[in-house]
Amino acid sequence: MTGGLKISDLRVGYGRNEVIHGVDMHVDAGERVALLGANGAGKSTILKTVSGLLSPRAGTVTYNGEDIGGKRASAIVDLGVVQVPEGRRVFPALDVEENLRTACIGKGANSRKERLAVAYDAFPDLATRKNQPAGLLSGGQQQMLALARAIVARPRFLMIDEMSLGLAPLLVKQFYGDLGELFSEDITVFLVEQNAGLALQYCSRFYVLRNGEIALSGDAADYRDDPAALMNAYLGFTGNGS
Amino acid sequence: MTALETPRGGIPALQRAGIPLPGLLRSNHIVGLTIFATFWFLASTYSEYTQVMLLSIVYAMVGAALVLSFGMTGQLSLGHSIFLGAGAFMSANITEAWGLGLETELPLVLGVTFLMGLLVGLPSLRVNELYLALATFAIAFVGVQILFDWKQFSGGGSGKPAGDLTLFGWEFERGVTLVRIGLVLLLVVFWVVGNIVDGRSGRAMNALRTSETAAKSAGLNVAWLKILAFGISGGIAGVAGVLYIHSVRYASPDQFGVNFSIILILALLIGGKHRLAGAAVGASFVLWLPEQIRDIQAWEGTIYGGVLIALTLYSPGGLIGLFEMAWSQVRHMVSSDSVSDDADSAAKQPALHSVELAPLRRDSAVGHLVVEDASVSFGGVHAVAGISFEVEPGAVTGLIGSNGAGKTTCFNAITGHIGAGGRFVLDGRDVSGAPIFKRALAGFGRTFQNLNLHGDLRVLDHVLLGLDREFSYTRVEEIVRAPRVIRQERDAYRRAAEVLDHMELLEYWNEKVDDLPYGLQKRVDVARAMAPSPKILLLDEPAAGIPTAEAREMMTQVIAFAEHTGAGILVIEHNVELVMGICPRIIVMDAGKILADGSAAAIANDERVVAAYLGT
Repeated sequence: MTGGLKISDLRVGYGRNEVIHGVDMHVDAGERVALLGANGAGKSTILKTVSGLLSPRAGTVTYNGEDIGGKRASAIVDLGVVQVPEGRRVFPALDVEENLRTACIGKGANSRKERLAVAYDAFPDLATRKNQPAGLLSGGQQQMLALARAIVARPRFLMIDEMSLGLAPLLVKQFYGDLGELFSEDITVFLVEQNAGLALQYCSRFYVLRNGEIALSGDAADYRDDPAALMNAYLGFTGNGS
Repeated sequence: MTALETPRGGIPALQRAGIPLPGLLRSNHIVGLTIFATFWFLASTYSEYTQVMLLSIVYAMVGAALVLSFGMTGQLSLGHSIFLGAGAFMSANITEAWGLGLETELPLVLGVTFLMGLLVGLPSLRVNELYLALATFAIAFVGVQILFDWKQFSGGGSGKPAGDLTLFGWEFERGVTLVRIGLVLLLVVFWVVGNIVDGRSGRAMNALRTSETAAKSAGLNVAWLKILAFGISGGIAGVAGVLYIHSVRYASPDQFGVNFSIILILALLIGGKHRLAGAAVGASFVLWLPEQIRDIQAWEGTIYGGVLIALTLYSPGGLIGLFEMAWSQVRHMVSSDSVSDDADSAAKQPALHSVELAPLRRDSAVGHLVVEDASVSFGGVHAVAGISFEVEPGAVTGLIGSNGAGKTTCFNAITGHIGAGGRFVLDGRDVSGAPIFKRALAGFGRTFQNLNLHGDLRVLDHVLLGLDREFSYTRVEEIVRAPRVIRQERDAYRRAAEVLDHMELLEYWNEKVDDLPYGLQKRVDVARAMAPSPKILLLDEPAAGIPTAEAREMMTQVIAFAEHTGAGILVIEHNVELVMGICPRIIVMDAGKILADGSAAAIANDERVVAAYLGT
């Protein structure tokens, strides 16, 4: 239980509103875990707290036994914890290759080349646009670039927020299928995903967050065949359409 | 669906949500009236402060002008002093050379400086805020130089004295009477600017400041609004110049340099650039503080600078913003116990059957879109390579394809957000080459992948913006807040409330969109686009980032609205499950071309589509 991420009784808020009300969860080294939940449940807030963009109000966040709650984001990245942020955060004025290079600071030139090659292999679309400013890419291509930056960064602990956002289904399947090759096999992956069916397929465990609290957690296998049941029961969604 | 057939007898959405209807007097007017009444009486009691009062009025007037052009429209001008200068010297000439009074000075100055404002506003169409500031800085610089050289008009370096203060031949004492004349002018200015702020123009100006793209898509003539804001702003500053020269009785060109402009901007920033009250508070701050504490006069610059830095850091809304923050804190503490739980009351009825939305019903389908040989290229890459397709009236059509296939570019070509070759015809009307807002008015409504919402505007304002094209009141009527303005604004409020109700956003009407979770922001984007009942709705990834079930519910509501109004829908979406479920027909794009076009079932089994896009 020393390896990986451990969150206990975490409380986080913005301004006068608390949005995470005492969450306990853990992601052990080498695991693939999904964090599910409806819009506004607080999923991204938890990721941001782990990566140091937000500070906890109470509770602890430890990584490999070290307390990282409230540490600077750059210090947390140095530990190998990398987040792919939601919504295509790339540097629009830099070209594709420059964007990728900013993700592998301080690594040797040889390994850098090799890492870029892996990223370009995963997203051939990017290889043909090496010298195009990222701002001119289409929305989906920007998302590819954000993911490629994570590949290049070679994290030990990878957090992805809304990986499938705006990506063609074919690419989503390929990316998840190749997770093991794109990163090393023992990498820990912590996913936030709206698409529960997809997340359950590629993860071993899941947590469902509702209104800032853990509503359910368990083995992905139990719901893999019927993600809709999980959606209806726990995602706080009450459809009242015709 | 049967629920929709029953006649509606419930309480209107507007009342259920407790949205107050706009009336004749708004808070801006009350600020103006309060200042007017207070100083009207103080003017005679404290006659030793006449000069400071007069200057405060001048500064507050220019502040109000800047609220329009800078606070609302976001155009930073460092050249407003030149309008004051023009007004001042015109006044001197009219009174001296022609022997006429305020009855000539005011309208003539207003007209000339309004036109000057339109001209100075022209660069704002081409450059951003920073470069506009530099351009207006240069204009002020050159303007002062012209004044120096045009000796006949300005008296050159020695300047010109103010003439007699008369109105239709009646001569007035300066002193207290001039303060009261100034107050009347200030009241008129606050009334006018307040009416613009609370009317469709103000809403539009606020919108274009935060996203020009979205404002254009709502059918707003952004270019004209920007120039108009500058024109009105210049006109008001010119009138302030008339009051200025009568107050100080003498004007020389060097008074109207860039320094004066900067002090005026500074005053407004300290007071709060988004509010008329900010203009008044800022004027008082820079003029009364040194008057009250004479010892600090030497430190004036340091104090203004320090206050400005502190406000920039802690309250970008200025002193008024600080006050508003404190006030909302107090209100929050007082009202935190009251729980409003009326969202799902029994009185809820289908919004589409409300008095406001029922008349939008179209019995024949519209939205017949013809795209002929559309092409767009970026630096040699053909993002859209000469594609042609038709969208049947009233149909829901899906547009899918791999990333970078040109789907969004295709949308941009249709709505005019990007220059494109080819022909675009909506219901028989050729819109090729027309600007964005004209295409919007022709019947296009669209949403954006990256939302393009106006972060600091409320949810309700977004829908009202969408409804802008429904207003028929003129800008002149708006300025005087004619009864028609209030009537139409009220109608728009009622209709907006029903649209919000239909999209299940009613309970959030008063929230700033920045404070909403992503899924609700997506709904706001859609509600804004469909409020004016467009002929065809172009939705760019409406389901991205929200769970399928939630997306499906939202789409059910959008489709119900479109069926009601007979409108067509063209939707880009990667959530295949959703697209297959709602779109009878799907167009697949790949590398700028159309790969396949057919029924959902045919597309799902098309080998090329599976290989290029869906995966197995």
